[in-house]
Amino acid sequence: MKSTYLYLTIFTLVVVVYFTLLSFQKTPSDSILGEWKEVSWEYEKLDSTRKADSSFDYMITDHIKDQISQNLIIHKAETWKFTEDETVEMQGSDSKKCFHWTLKGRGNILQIDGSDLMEHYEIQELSADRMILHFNFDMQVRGIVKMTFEKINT
Amino acid sequence: MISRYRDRTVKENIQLGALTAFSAGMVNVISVIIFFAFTSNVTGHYAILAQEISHGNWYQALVVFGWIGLFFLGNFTSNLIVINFKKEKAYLAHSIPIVLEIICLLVVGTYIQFYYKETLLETELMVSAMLFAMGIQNGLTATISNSAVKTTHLTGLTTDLGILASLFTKKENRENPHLRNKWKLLLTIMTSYLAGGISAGYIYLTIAYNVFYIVCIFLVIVIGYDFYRLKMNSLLQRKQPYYRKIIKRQAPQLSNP
Repeated sequence: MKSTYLYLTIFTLVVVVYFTLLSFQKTPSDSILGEWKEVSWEYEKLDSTRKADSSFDYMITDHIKDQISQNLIIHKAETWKFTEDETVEMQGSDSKKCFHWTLKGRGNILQIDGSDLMEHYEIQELSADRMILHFNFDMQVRGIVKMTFEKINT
Repeated sequence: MISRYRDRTVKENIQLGALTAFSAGMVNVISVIIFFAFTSNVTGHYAILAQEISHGNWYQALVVFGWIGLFFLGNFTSNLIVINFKKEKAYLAHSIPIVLEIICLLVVGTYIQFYYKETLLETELMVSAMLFAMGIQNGLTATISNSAVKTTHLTGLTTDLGILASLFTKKENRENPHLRNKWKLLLTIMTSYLAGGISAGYIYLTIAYNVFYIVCIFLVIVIGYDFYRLKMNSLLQRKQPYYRKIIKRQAPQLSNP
């Protein structure tokens, strides 16, 4: 009987502490809300042949960026506005598109749902003013692109 | 498969291991496809937990900690049921955890099919339910097979397979029936887990969320197979006096040709 009480006490304590701590944390779904401006595209990881070249520039030029994103939902999007109704508004210099967004996993996967296309981006960092997304590509070279965003309004 | 705790045969362990590992493989792959989270390999979650803590992502760290906690709770629950009910009815004690697992998977499957809005909270709760279900399954199979069958513990299984493969370089080990049986069991679990995962990936393309119902069917087979055997045994035992009488009646005729 004594051990039953001990088990119940420990279990209750763990649950209470767990949910108390959880309630203090901002969820990734809340952190992502707002308007984000794309500031850079870089190669995060590449095949080893390119790595050997020390002069290789990891920053992605606009031309390459255009080629990589040509068939993607995010093509020509410069600012991304995430709203509470799970809509992301992507605005470019001469275009504006709206898609459905949702987070998966433990909040580390951003799913953007187009009418006939669904894309997944890995959220590497999501702070109050910075968001870093990764995605795999195989255009010209195989690797991972790192997209950095800065929040332009909160 | 699940009715016996002591003197288990290799065949029983292989049957149990094959069916439950197949289910675990299916659940794991389907959770990755739908939720982008593993539900039957906790080692990976420990690595993610450490990574999230080191990055200072406390929300994600707490979510992963919760998932590990639920896998722990699943193991705790199934063993608690087994040790408390075993004395009265072993079959009942062993089948209750599987029934709980079926309920968890049915809830997840039904919720996804009719109510899932793809919010993060829903995803986290669904993964929690699946990890709890996998904890129940792993705890049960490990308990009733004296840790011989662990259907979601592929790290340990691969380790054991590697060790056994090296032991088989010596002739006396190759001829050791105990080691050979263990090899057969581990290989069956590994193959079933992989087959479950591959088939879940293929099946999902055509029947989508209904994969959960297929997993439940496999688990019903685990319970049903033993129920059938127990029922048949009890029927035969009940009819034994009748057979004895027949044999007795026939015996003099046989002895006096």
